[in-house]
Amino acid sequence: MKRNTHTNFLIRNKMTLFLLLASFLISANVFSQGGRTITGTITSVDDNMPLPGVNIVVEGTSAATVTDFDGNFQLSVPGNDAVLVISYVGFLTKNVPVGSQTNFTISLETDVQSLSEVVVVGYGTVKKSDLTGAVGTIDSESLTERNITNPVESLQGLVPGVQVSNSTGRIGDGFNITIRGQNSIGGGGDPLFVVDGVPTDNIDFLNPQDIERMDILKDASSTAIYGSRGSNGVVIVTTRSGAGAKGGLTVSVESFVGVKDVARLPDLMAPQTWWDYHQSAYLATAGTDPNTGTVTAATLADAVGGGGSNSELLRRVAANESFDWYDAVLKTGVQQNTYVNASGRAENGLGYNLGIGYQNETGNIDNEELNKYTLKLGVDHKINEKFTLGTNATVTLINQDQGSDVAMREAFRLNPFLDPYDLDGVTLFPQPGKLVDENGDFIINKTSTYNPILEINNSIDNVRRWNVIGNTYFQYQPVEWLSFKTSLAAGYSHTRRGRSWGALTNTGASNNNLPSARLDQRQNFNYTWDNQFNITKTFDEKHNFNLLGLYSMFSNRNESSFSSSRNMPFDTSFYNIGSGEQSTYDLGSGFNKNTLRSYALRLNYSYDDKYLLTLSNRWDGSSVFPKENRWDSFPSAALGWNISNEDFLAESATVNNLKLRMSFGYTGNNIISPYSSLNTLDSQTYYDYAGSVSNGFVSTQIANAQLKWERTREFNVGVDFGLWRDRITGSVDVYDRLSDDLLFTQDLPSETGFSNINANVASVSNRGVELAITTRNIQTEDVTWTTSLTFTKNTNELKSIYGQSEVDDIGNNLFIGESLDAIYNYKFTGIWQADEVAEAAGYGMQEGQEKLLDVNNDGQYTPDGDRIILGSSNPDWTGSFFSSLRVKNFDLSTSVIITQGVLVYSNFHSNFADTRDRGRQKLDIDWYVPANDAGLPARASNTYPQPRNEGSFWRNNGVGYYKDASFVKVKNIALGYNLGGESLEKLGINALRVYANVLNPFVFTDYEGYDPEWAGASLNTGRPSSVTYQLGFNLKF
Amino acid sequence: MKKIQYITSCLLVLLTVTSCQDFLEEENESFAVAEEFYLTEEGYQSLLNANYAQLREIYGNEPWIYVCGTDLFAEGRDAEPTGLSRYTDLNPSSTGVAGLYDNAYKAIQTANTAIYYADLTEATDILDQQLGEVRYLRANAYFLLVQTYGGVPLVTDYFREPVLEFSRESAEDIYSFIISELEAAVNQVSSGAYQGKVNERAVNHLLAKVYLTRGYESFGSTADFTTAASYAEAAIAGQGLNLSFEELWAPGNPTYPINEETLFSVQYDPASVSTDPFNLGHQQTAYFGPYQGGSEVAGDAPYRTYTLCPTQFAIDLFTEDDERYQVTFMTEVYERYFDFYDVDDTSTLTVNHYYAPAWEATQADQDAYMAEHPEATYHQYGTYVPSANPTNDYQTIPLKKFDDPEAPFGQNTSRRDIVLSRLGETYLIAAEAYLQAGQPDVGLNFINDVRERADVDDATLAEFDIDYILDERGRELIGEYHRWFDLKRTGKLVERASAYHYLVEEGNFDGANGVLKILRPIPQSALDLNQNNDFEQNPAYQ
Repeated sequence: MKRNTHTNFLIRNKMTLFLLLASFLISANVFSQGGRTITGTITSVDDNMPLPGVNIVVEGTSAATVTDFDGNFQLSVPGNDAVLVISYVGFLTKNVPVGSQTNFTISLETDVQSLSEVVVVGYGTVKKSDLTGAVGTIDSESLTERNITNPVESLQGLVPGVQVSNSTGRIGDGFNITIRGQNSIGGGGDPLFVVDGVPTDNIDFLNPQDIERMDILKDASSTAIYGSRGSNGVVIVTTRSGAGAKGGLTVSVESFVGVKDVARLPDLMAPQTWWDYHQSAYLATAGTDPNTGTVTAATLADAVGGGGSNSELLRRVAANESFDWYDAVLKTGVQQNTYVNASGRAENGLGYNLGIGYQNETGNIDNEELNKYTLKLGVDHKINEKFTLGTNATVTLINQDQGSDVAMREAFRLNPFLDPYDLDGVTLFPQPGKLVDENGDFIINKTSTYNPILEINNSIDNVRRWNVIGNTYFQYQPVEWLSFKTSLAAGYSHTRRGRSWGALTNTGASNNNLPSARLDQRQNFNYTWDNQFNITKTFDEKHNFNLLGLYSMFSNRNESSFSSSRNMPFDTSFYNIGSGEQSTYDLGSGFNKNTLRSYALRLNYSYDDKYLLTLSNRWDGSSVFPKENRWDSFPSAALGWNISNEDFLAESATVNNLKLRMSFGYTGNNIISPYSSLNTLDSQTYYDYAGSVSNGFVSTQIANAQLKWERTREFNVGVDFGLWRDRITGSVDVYDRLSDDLLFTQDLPSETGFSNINANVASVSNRGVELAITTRNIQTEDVTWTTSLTFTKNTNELKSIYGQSEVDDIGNNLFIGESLDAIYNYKFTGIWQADEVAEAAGYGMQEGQEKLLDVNNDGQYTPDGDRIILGSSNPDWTGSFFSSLRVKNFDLSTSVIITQGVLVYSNFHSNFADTRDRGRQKLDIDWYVPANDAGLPARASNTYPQPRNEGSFWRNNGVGYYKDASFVKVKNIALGYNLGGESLEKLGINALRVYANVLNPFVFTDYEGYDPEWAGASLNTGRPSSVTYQLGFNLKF
Repeated sequence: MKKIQYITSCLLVLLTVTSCQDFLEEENESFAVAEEFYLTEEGYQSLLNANYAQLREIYGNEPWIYVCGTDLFAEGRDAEPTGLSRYTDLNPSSTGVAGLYDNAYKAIQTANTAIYYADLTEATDILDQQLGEVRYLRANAYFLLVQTYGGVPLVTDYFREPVLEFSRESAEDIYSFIISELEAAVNQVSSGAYQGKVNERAVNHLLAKVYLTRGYESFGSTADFTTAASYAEAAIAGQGLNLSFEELWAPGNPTYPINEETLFSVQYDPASVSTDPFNLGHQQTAYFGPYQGGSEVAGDAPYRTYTLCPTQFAIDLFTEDDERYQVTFMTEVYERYFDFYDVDDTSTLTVNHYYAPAWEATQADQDAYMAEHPEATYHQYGTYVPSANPTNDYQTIPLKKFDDPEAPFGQNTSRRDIVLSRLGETYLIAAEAYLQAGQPDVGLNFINDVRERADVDDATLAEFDIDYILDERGRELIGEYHRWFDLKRTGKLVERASAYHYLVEEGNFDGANGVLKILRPIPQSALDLNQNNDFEQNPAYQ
């Protein structure tokens, strides 16, 4: 008992931390009746913690009570025959005969099924065994075990069929997520995110630790209930709320710190290699000697030296005095994450959850920083048997500094013989490539690129984003089988992006050496009002029916504005835009809104837990379509068969779980910009007549009065299995989906004079296989070892466009029978060598230029004959591997993600391997140099052309920059130790785990740019790969 | 329990109320809708303004397709798009081939929109005049297309639904269309003085040029030249070349007023580009000379790409007495380039660069100059041209007639009007038209009016031929966006480009099917989007 007192004392102490909450949590509600009085304590089996608010009823009577804050209760019982029925949310109900005992200590067991064996399917939950669709569920443990601060990234590799990839590698930039392949083109491919009932564009703003679970609905029968917006899959995020809170008070503190080191930097040229390259790059264009008619060492030196204005550069080259720009710009980033959570349930049935999180991360270059503050509160109150209400709110502030978007690119591009300093070696010099001596004469005269270090120091790009998501529901259950629920969910976000360019930046230099600034603001408010009824009935103990009816309204409203000015007299960042020169003011604002009204019905029926049926239909009306096409309906049906519940398998020692699922259904997509069916004059033109300003307004798009819903038909067959008492569990799904009337921003022929139209243009098929297997390899008291594998293969194929399946639309990159991400171009095969001059000439090419595949062998390169599909940026397959080993108190886990068969246009190469350029630093490539009189050794490269003589296809068609970006990445390795024992218990600590974690330690790839995962990223935002080392602890008391 | 019933009934009421509203009607707050706005007078005017604004897109960007690969200009230190400048690897995806095609059709569709709404919009006094202006702008776009690409699709409809297939019309039909449109427009537009909008003289000038150009075509006739001459005379309307060449090109400050000889120009008042001066200005100033430094010289010198540098041939067109030489070229660059404009007494300024003309080619000339300007870099005659393979800044002679000293430093920042038609050119059109129409004596008077203004001796009838006209056009109009069209029209492109452009040889023009690469290829991007698979590429590129 001493220990208990001690614990109580601790709890009280903790409560002072949460006084506010406590004030409405503590209320005495104990009452008793006559008869014999018994007392007792109710605790949880798991952790021996007392449970407050537990219902205790004497069976068959109205005598009842609830436990107090310390889990104690007192109750009058009529006699020794009485039976206590002890029930509590999240725990298995227990019946205890009273007998002659007067003091009871009763432990309740957690209702495992209620926590993990349920799947959230949209407007409700079903038991996993009753599920008929393809749904991937991720619990909070999986989400947080890798210590990733972005919730989308935390999903990486967890669910087959769900591809997650980093878009740029820059901190704070988002992740791309695609579910079951791309079936929409033009940016509408993101799944629908629903956070506590609020549809959102992304979930980057959430703290993974606030998330209780994510359920990813993949097949049409699951997503059909979201009808209109379900065709790219639905990610349902349930944040921790009061509803699942257990009794007592649980406080957990989780914290880690990490350092993020740049890793796997691309191999750029060594200084002297660059100098060789630089000279070669002048060979094609340098002046010729009038005597020989060729470029000689002298004329080449003159061209390279720039007529004597590069004395310092030449000196540095001779002395091999180079500068390491990588080193000057890159630094180690720091990461810290702290999260405190408190949850509990009061004796009056009120459950709550409070979470406070802070994440901080600095980038690998200065001035890049992310701060994320999250506050989350969920309260749930079961007023009585019939009424429940609850509310759940998340408030997030993200403060992100993006620094300079050109600095890193510029720094890496500066040649290694330039340094950031003036001649004194200390002062930062604005243009290192334009160095002058004390007389103002050039001693380096190459590039005007602005000093990236000054650029970083004097550029601000700050994004401050508030997100508030809230949801309140009210549920009425007049009789056991019928309930009504209304819930109002609202989301608000405000994003402010402020940018300023100080006097000492490239922008400043072009603006009279004065600062300039720009401010962008965007507000979004959306609400969803769902009203539903639920009927659950069981007949003859075997026929289970559940009928859901739904009426829902959704409204989404955006407002935006921007202002900018230049030539500011003093530096006020972006906080005084008005201080700029009036004539430089630029401003604008915008508004758009879209609404959706929906009705839905869903029937679940199961017979004897063996045969399952789900039927649903949703009717949606969307404001973005013209009136006649506004409404559409999206039906679905699914069947399930729990084979393992059949008699012939009931006794099987091998198969303990086997289920077959089949589903068929339709979903829709309305992701197009509002007003697409209206002829809006969205483009402003500028002109004047003899000085009198005369603006004009026109459309750049053709309005489409025939717009209608995109519809996706999907067929899914899946098997779930558990073998040898769940030593091996897993599932296999095969699907075939066909999206018709695909919404697409279609580029129009030049002759129309319009750039594009939003139209229903194509039909595309996605077929795939998804596999997930988990094996419990070792399962003893001291050692457990679990591994899991996922595999996904999706084939994306365009079936038809514009109602026909014969003719491709090359201009829109739509090729019948190919992937939507198909890459169509000439195929680069090498470089024309010296002994191939005659053959090259036939193609109008020269030695040292790019060689292409002459597909039709007609002796020339023609667009119609020689462009082919080179590949696709859609991976052939993806997979993941997880391993988790526990030996006594130690745990060791690792995860690996795999993406294979990806071809991308590498922006990294189009810059760092661009042989048209001669002055910038380059990837360490092998370039071509023909035999020459200028004293340059000939180089017979077959991979990169002669600099400045690359040929027009290299230049105009970018044929040399397609790269295979397949990779295998070890996502993390974590080693942890669980402290336990008496000493901790004395401190009132229930659990303490300390761990070390390494993120992204190894990548195996042939890709030579920053990181294969974001090989397609733009050069300005793409960042080098990194390895993060973390140390942290999780504490529960 | 009462409370709960109350809440429930409130919700039910709310539910019924919200169901009735026009919840799904789109709320379009930001933008006007064409079907309403264009019906008003203001709206239609804004549509007209948008038509004029297309000129900025057509002429305001890179001028490769207008002047590159000719006898007058070649690349300096920086590469020009090799397809257009050297013809060897000219193909449908070559850089610079598509821009004009896309922008011309955009202008055409904007014009078609205006013509469509002319029937629907509020009737006003100026509607007919506005319609005439639009027809001129559309005809001008077709004229650019037909000269550049040959026969192209004739699009006269306003598209309210996507059209995915287009076929080519013959060049002859396109010319007929242009002429009939312009001849109708000439009666609709204002006959008043030029104030930025298309007027009668502008239409007459363009008509003269269209007829002149058609005269050379296989389907043209001598009558075309006669008609061209009479339209040119109508455009001249008896006005003499009264301004000096210097006055004609002096930059104004801070704005650039239209002068009396401008018949039509693309308007770029600083006030109309102030919201985004780095992108809304034009690029004409950024060419025709050497690189003069990056942002470190902002405010002191213009940004120039090192391309379209005047060739030796271009420089040699001028004689010592030709006033146009000093106005056209910046022969003496002060320490601060713009001091030429900003300092009244330039006699004491330090000279950084001097480009010696042909008539100062001796060592004695150089010594004399250097004695006076010891700090100057002296560029000997013959060295400051692209063929000398310049590697340093300022190594070729800068063209200064387009300078905008007040413009922000950048490539798209000039706010001077781009002159498309001016009286001097009209005289030269008249001269050429009369020459080709068999009246060289009449034509000679017109060319000599141009020469007299430049203070050079009259041409004689004996030397007056098409080459003489092209030379004179070179002197008078260098850098204005005519040269490629001039050479192509007169059939002199291959001859002159290969003779005077050091990177072009006659063989460079050899295309497929034994056809020379004179017409430009139809851009691959346009072919790729056109669903008509039978759409034919020009034979030289098939």
